[in-house]
Amino acid sequence: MNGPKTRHVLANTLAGLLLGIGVSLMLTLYGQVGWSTSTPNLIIVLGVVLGLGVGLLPVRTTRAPTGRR
Amino acid sequence: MTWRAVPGVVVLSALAVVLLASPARAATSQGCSGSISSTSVANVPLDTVAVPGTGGTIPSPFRLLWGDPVTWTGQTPQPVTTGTWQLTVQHPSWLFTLGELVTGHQHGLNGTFDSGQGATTFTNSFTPSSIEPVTLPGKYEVAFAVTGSGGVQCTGTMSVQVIDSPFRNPLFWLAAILTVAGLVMLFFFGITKLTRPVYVRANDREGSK
Repeated sequence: MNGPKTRHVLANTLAGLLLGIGVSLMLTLYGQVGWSTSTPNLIIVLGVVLGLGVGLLPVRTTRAPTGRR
Repeated sequence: MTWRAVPGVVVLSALAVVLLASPARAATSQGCSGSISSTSVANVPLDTVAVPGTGGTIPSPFRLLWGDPVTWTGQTPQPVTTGTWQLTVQHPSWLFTLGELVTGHQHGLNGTFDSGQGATTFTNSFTPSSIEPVTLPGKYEVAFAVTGSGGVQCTGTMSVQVIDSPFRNPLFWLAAILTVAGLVMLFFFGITKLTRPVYVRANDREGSK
């Protein structure tokens, strides 16, 4: 029940990758990070790690209510 | 459990971003000396840097507006009348390559100059947007090379910040779409699994451990 499919590890990792690329591009375009440095790549890696971390979090489960008699 | 190590990896990655940032490098030159100045709207001076000199570093780059003139003055041991100049981006990240693909931007800038008479001091002025209409605003490490008639060669490096509205750049909109898509996906696939519990029978809960 609490397996990788329910956790959406791949989808969350992809979300982190997209977020990392987006934030990295924003920061470079606004001059906060240089185009000629490795920082944009590291921000993308950080995004992937964040997505992977969220993806690996366990699904919150709760006991199903018992059926009516 | 694996996910318990994630906060540590995130902290280490954040530290790496800070520690691996490029060190400050001042403007350098070989074979010549000179200065570069930029102007803002209505020809008001914006920034000036001497090469070689202490300016043009990564924390304090030489700032220029893409749509306004940049003037440079060079001094060489031999007199120069005509020649070519070239600016190239140093150590471009793969995002810069992506930007070039999206915007069709050329790698660097180049042009010619004619000082009119052979002299050891000569001046040239150009407007970046007249050479390359599309820009990628941000900070760059650039290398410049001036080759004059008679084989005079001048090279150097410096940090430059191109100032332009990001809103005019397609990469900005791509970045905005990717950021929103990433956040929506993280919320939909990640956060909701914490806020919306999955109902399981007692047997399933015991079996999942």
